[in-house]
Amino acid sequence: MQTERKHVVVAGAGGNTGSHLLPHLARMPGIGRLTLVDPEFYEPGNLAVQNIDRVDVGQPKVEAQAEKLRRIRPGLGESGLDVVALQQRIEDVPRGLLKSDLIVSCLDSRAARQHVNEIAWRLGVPWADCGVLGSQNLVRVNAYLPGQDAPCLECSWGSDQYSALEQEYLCGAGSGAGFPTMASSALGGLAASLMAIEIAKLLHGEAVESMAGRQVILDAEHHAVQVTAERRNPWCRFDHRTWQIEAWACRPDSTTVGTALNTLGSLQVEGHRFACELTCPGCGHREESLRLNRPLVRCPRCDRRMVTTGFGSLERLEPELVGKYSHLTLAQIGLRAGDIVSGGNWHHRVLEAAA
Amino acid sequence: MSDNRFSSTDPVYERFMQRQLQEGMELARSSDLLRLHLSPMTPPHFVAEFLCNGLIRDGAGEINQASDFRVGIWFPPDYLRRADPFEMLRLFTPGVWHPNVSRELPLICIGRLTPGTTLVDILYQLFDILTFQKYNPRENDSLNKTACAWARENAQKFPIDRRPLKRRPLNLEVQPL
Repeated sequence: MQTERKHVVVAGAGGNTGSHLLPHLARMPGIGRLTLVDPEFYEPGNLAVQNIDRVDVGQPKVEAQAEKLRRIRPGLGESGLDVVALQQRIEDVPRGLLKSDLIVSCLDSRAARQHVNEIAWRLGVPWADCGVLGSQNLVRVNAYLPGQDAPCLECSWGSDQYSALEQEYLCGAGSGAGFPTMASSALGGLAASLMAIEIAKLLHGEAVESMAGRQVILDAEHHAVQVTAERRNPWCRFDHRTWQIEAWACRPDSTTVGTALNTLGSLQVEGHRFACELTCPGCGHREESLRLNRPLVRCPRCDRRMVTTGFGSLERLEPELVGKYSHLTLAQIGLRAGDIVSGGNWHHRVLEAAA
Repeated sequence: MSDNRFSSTDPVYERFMQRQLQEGMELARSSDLLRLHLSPMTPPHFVAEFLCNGLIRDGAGEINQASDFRVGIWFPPDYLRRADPFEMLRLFTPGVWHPNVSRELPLICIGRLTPGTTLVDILYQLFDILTFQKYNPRENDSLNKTACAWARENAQKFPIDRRPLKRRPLNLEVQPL
């Protein structure tokens, strides 16, 4: 009997854990498709802790890894592995492209993991998260199964965790990057192996009930394992909603904002806002526009991150707010095939690339 | 007090907003230096009017004391989960002279902002900045480098206003003879 071939998305695919995890996934016959997401390039320093060779330095992480995966299992034939490489931040990937059987996060940024949690719930896709703490030789693996009453990443967060979210701000050394985990290659490999075993269980389905909502911590320093069952927090700040998402055969490059608003009533892309005016806090350069603020725009003059000053952005496009921009196409305001747009009454549609 | 303009599909956010409105108005009532109202504009935002002393640089380049500063504060629907301080605040009063205030843009920087920080906390932070009880002393990441250098030279004049934001009860009890 031909088993169903699963699609797995790996966010942070090229990092300390991700680079060790991918070969395991490529060797799982149940997986037929891997989507790799990582915006970074390999640097010489990565050689010490990540599963790469000298030739990979300077390459985009997803491309270098995709190349390796194709050498392990080529894409052709019934048992082939189809690899999709997306060189962008997980937050910026159109969410429809992440609809899969499992989303795996090997990210070092708390803010990015928060996004993955949200995406997984909206799409109704299980997700697994892992982390490493090099200074204490700790490995952590969590699994989440979306549901209104199921625990999510944010259920265990208090204001300390929210205040530790990476944030860029105007004065003071703000940073959008996660802090280095200082994990060795061996620890990354350990996390990857533990994760791969859990992924196999999650994909198999039967083990889902037992694994979901659990956290496993492996303390390699003191040879101890801790398993915690998490609970749904009734005061969780995330709404835990899973969406019904319809397909919408609409070409972003020919459908105008006006037409889209006629169909949808209003238009919103969760996780992003529309910038009406972008300004550079460094040199004062200003751009009037209507565009989805994704990826974050850098100043053409001084390369600082451009910001939408107070109220210079729109959460939701509505016919009376769009005005002179209604003739622009959805592509011109930054939408792409795979984006999930929410209209009035929270009706959700995924933009399909029409053939 | 409740306001249906905060009605949302998210009950946690809605409750949060109603509480901000209540607490903010309470602070404004017990302050001589703050007026607060909800703007009728979209998106729904608060406009805080500070009547404390601060500094304005006029067209001729002269730095003068002023005592009316207006700041708009917007809480986006996902504010409890992620916050972008750029987007949330807009300084309506032009010409404010301060290391944390841009000269060209309506930007005021209150530093890191934890998602879910209450309106009252933000009002206190804005007040501390406008009155120079707090400012960013590092020129390289200041929004107004000249004001930053100026502030270093004139630190002995700060704060510009020593009155507390919240009126203190006078406690004038008449002692029986």
